[in-house]
Amino acid sequence: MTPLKVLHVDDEDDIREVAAFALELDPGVELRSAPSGSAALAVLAEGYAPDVILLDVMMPGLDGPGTLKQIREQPEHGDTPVIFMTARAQSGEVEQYRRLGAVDVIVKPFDPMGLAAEVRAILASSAQ
Amino acid sequence: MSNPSHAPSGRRVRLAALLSVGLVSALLAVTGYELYREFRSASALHAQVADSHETRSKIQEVFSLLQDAETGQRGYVITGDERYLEPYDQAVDSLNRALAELGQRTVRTPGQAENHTDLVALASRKRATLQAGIRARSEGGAAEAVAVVSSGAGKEAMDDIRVVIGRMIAVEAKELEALSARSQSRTLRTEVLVVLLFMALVAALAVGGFAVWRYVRMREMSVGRIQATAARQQAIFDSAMDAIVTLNPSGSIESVNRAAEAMFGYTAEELSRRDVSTLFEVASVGERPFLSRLTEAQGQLDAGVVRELVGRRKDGVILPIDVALTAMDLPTGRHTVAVIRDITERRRVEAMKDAFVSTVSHELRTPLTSIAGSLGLLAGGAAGQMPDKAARLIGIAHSNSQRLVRLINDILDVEKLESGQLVLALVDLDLRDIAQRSLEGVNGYAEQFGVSLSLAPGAPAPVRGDADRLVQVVTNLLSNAAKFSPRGGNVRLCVQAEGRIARLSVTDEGFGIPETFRARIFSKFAQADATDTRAKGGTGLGLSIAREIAERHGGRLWFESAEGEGATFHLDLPLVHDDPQAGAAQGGSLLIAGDDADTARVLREMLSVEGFTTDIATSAGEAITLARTGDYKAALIDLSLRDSDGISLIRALRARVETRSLPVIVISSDVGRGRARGRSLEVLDWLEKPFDQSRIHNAVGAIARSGARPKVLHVDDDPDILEVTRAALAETADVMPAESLDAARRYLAKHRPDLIILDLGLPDGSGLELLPDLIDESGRSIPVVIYSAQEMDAATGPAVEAVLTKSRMSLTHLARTVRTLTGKQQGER
Repeated sequence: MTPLKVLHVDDEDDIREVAAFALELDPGVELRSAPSGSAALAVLAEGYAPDVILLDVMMPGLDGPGTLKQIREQPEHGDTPVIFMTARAQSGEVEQYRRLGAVDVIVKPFDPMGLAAEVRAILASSAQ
Repeated sequence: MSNPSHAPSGRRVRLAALLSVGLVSALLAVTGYELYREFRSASALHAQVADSHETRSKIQEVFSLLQDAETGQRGYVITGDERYLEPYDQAVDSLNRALAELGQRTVRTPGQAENHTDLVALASRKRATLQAGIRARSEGGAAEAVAVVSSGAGKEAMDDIRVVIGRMIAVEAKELEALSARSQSRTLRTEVLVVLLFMALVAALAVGGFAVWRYVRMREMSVGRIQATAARQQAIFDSAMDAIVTLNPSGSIESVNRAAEAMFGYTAEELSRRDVSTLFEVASVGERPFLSRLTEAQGQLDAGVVRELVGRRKDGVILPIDVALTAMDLPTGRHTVAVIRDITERRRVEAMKDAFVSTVSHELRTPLTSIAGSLGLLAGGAAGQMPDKAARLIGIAHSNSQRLVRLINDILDVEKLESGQLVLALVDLDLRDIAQRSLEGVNGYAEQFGVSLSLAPGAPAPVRGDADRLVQVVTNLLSNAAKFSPRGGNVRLCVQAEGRIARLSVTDEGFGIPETFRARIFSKFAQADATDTRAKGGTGLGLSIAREIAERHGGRLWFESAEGEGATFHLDLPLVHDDPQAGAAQGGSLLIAGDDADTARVLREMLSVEGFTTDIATSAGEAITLARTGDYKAALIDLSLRDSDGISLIRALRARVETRSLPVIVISSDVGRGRARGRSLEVLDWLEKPFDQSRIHNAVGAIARSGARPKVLHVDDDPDILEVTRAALAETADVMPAESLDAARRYLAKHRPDLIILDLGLPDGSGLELLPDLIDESGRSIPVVIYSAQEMDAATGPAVEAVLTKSRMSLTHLARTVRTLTGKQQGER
């Protein structure tokens, strides 16, 4: 079984670490983390091709939507599913994120024990 | 002149002045006439006196002539000299003329004519004796003549003449005396009259003068009062915190207060006569009629209207403002008062609050993500097996971090709901799916308490709603039910369609909701028992949020509970029909006016279930505009409105031709609970006296159409009005008159009329006191036409509301009432 390659982008070190713990509970997940939007773009520019990108919305410098826009401009990552992770997720905002091109939104604080399962579920439903 | 108490007394004073002027003129005229008559009669008297003297001298003349004749005759008799006959002849000649003249004078005087006749006879006798003497002398000589004279016949005649002359003079003297007496009495009468008239004249002048003095003084006093009022109002005007601008009918600025000068940076002189567009961003002069530049419908100004506009300072700075516009009808036309409030600060605070909420949302959740995440991993065993004590502590920390997350989420929800920012993403969905999703979400939580959840099978229940928000509501109900159920208990979830409502019910097997807690179960931070919070881990906001969400969906969240036997919470949502237009077409359109958005929504939902479409107005101005333009079957009016009260609105509707016959149902807010729920209702029509036959006729006619000859109870303390109404309705209905509350109650105890026409001011109380008696056991009310000259003011308004609240009618009866009313309307057409 090929591993699920996940790129997690968040400026908070603690959250990246908790998310790493959480995702790695799933042995089928191969995780790379990036501390900022530009770092994430750099990872992609190296030629890393994740199956899904988990993207924090509010980050200093290049924020989530800005990062997403630049990712979409790269032809090889034009179709990579992006899931926003945010503490600001009222119903109106979720709609807005979807319009920007995200497949879904995971609300912070997330359930660490079920995070990997949630990501897989989102990917499965968006692939349908 | 705003002081009406002066008008009548001013009128009285003017009337008194006018009367005294009239009286003085009349008295002067009478006095003048009396004096004129006095002068006339005095001159007449004078003429009469002169006449009398003339008569006396004529009498004397006759006597003198007779003596002259006798003297001449004697001379001739003694001397025989012919020269003596000359005066004799002259005297005899004059005597005839004098006697004739005397005859003319004395003919009108009573008694004097006989004397004159006697005198004439005696004179001719005397003349004959004289003649005999002369003849004897000339024919017989001196001795014969002496013999004739000595016979004494001449002297005898002369003595008789003297007697008659004396009588005549006495008669004239008496006549003169009588004249003088008459003149004296007349003069006395005139004197008295003139004195009296002058006294009256003086009195009238005094009264008139006093009246004029009073009038002038009263004018001075009212001018003083007006000046004081003006000064007081000027002080209020100038010290008001809000800017106040008055505009003339063409939209030019008339006056501004100090706050307006400060707010806009202009001086009052600079603004005088400038167009209102100097201050507000409105269409400039000439583009549209003035008032329509400020507000859409001119009619709205009657009730006052608040507009959010953009203001412009002299230095060009733009500021957001609230402008309250009120019409001020003056003799020169419709002026407008604009009260302007700078809402820059309010906007800034709102923005700050939004920013704060957003910060809370993000900044608190970010560290919580790490804390709750780490604890979750530890508690989940991601870092391997822990000693029991450590696992227990981690468990406590984990569940409390979860609780903190929920609390933050709930607070943010409440904030959104209260600020009206919660936008529902309404889609067609099946309430059963929502139940299923919620159940799956809560299952794990319920297992902690050893409680099982089950959803009873059934048909789909299509509703329109925001899936996430409805799941939030049902999740809250389920988790509450799980929390309060005993270990091993079962929470039953059931979804069914009931009439036009989709009902989701959650039933638990807990110990029910304590009686004392029921009233505040939906309040914020409400907990049945303070210690429960810790034990059960709730925030106390869940049900408050759930109810808000249910109501935003046009639905209702309520419960049934018996202490010790668990509780059932019901979520009612409007069922979506296959043909959504079918319902609307049946009922028609209704206008709801009320300032409480929740009441209006509950009513709208309930009425849509009954097949009515509704428009909601929160202010009287809006309601009037809608009522004038829309085709409504009836208006449901709350007594509390944003800019006015319900009774004033009804009066305003009644005052306009196009809205006069719109049936009105008054809804009273349930004041006891702080929040209106539209539960107490009463059917009313509100007429103003004086008597309007056609309106009463229509009200009764509508009832007459529904069946047999209707019975109408008319309660009014004016027997004339009772009689007129009875006569006016004689062909349509049996009218039972009652002159007091007591009489009305006695009648109502035995009969149930079809309509009541009710005056408010009755000898033994207010007609409103009767309203609670009009509702029968089944909750139906007798239609009432309030028909009164009584002014509704600040004092009576709450009284009406209180009575209406007392005479509450259940919500389900409202639809029936509306249906009856509109049914009659249709029948009428």
